[in-house]
Amino acid sequence: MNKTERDVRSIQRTQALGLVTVFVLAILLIQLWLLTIAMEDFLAGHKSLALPTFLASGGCLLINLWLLRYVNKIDQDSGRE
Amino acid sequence: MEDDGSKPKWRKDFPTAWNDDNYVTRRDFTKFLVLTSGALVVGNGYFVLRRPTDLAAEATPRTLVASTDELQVGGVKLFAFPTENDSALLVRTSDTEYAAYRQRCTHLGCPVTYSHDSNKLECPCHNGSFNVSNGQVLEGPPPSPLPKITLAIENGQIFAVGWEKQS
Repeated sequence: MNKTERDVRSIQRTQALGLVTVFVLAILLIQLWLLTIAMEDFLAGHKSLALPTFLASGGCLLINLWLLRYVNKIDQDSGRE
Repeated sequence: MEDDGSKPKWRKDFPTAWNDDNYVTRRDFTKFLVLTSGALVVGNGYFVLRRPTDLAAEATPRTLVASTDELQVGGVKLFAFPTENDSALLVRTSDTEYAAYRQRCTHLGCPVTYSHDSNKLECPCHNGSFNVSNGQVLEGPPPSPLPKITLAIENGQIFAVGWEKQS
């Protein structure tokens, strides 16, 4: 059975989205780790790690938002077809 | 049997392609993950805004803990200091010496207990332990000594009066 061009693009979109999901999940795990060490530092009565982990986590969020923008772009391309 | 030569008839009854179906689910899942990512940033921000408790700055009311003949050597008494919500423990380490500590591990805040067998203050959560004489960390993950309470003994009564400075 021959696949139409639309089917091929649909498969490509699915694969691209799967890849983005894996990236976002990996970044989320890094953020979870950052939150954990910030909490440990806080409970130990220190504050030295709070700001660096906050900034790093914010950077991760920006990457995630950029990836989400990519997902929305895929959506728009999909809608045009 | 085919409808128009290119699509099978069953496609009319089930018009959604499997790939598109999965695609929509993953898209929503990704959006949810990004939302969670934002929540984690907010969580990190909480630790930036909130200051750790500074024990030295806390008001420390003079608190009666026990009488000197109340505990045997190796005996332990729990009490509240400096507020009703802060648990502390008093240990009689010898005939004439007592030691009192905040009953909260400096690692993740689990309550520490005195072990008669090892003569140490132990945290059951991550197997941290502290020296019962000075509160210094002996083993495990705690990053700093246990806050030690200054005691005053007057007329056979033991009072908690403040926090000792530790290196």
